[in-house]
Amino acid sequence: MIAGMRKISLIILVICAGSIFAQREEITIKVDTIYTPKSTKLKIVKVWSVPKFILHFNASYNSGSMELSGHNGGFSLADFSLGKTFGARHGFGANLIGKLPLSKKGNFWLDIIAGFDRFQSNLFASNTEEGKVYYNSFNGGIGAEYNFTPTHKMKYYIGLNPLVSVISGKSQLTNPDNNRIDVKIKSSVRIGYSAFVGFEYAFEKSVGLNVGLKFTHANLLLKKSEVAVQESDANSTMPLNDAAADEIQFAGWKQFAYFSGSVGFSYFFGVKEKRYKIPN
Amino acid sequence: MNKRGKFIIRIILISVFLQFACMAAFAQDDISPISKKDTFYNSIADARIINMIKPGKAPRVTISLGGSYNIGHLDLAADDNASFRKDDFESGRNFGTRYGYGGYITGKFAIHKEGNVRLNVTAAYNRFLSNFVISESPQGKVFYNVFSGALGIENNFNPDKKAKPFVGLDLVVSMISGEATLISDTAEFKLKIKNAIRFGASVNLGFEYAFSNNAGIQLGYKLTYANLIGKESKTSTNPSETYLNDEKVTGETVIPYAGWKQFLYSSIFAGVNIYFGMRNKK
Repeated sequence: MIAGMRKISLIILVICAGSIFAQREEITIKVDTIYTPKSTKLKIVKVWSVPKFILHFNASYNSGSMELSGHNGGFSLADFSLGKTFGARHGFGANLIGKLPLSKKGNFWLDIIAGFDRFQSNLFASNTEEGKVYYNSFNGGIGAEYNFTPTHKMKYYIGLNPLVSVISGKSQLTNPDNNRIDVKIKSSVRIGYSAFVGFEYAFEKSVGLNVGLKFTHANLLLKKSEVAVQESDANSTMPLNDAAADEIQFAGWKQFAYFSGSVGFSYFFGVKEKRYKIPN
Repeated sequence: MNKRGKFIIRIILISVFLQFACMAAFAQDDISPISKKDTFYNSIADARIINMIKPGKAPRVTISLGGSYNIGHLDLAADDNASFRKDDFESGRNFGTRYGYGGYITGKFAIHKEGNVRLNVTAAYNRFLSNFVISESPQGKVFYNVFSGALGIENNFNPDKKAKPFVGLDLVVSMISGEATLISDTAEFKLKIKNAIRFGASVNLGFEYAFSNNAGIQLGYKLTYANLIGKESKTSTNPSETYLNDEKVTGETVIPYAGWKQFLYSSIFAGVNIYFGMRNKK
């Protein structure tokens, strides 16, 4: 009996001892001291500066206007000989333009322009029964441009420039008796202007795409007509013959005017990206 | 299936597995840089910068009302040496005019919340005269009236700002009519050009400038090819009337005033805009 009581007491003692240990463990649990930092939102915006210089290259399709637009799409020997039109209608060209900002804000720009345009009577038209003609115009000018959004990706502009053109060419005239006469159009200097509108899309900081439309009146000043100099039976040379002169063959009051639609690439130099923190 | 066949199938399955495994790896590579936050900045943004990022509200509807000066191209660039030429007109070599003017009203409807893409509905009137800008010819004169409707789409690059550059494309239906006066030594002959419907297209480029949340101006350039589709040449039973006769005539057939003619012109336009539902940004 006594032995049984001792066993029971021992079991109770062990259980009690166990509970004492448990109480000790509870005491040793530390308070959770993990620090959770308070999060803040940081708003940063990137802003591009005005380019220090823009190099703009484009290629264009030209559509003749006024006397630079032959009729019914073909070359007419009679119109050309009478000086009614230049005989050509469509053309193409290319321009290289350097643009310098005139103010810190970058709205006003000085444009330095060099270009080449070619017009052909047989471009997009195959009617060469009466002959054909082509003109090459090397031109250049210095102009002014207003850019509405110089710090944006989309830079939208409008401008105007005086233009000096050196226009030359050659015509091959086929008479009704199938005799061919070549008339060389010697280099003629003319002064005119171009008005243009377009945009440049900077797809990254230094490179972009440009699209534009331009009207050019190349021979506003210095129109001149002279009698063609016959060098042989089948060859003669004359100037552009764009001034009114009824008595001179190939001469007439003619405007070397055309519209151009262009696309190309622009390179933006000196653009810096600044990052600004927006205050909370 | 023989051993060789099974071997090939295993190779294919392993290749497919590896392919998918690599794709997953590449996808993770793409995502990883995004987790890095670049918190560098040059300075605290001033009021000007804050204003740049503060959103405005693009107009839901814009009504544009304006006028245009038109310059003809191709066969609408007639009047060689700045004079109407009866022979060219009669033989269908050109339309006989070079310059014109017009007016338009356009409704621009934003087709989404950002407001940069717009649906444009236009009604326009243009008139071309052989004796507009250039002096009247002793050989006669001609004029055309062009009533047109257009449906198009436009992208406006800064719809919530004051200066709003845009570029657009329209499909155009035109009703073209006119009248010519042909003078010979003995008489003056009036010729009516009957109504003709032609289909074409136009591209435009310009900008709007909003003075306030309700009003602004616009300036732009548009190239219109009015008779791209629907050209036709036929003889009228009435000798004092003709059709537009802009289709090419081939063979022995002779149709008075007919020839391959393009009704193509450039317009420089300017007008006023009325904005609805816009909160303009500076």
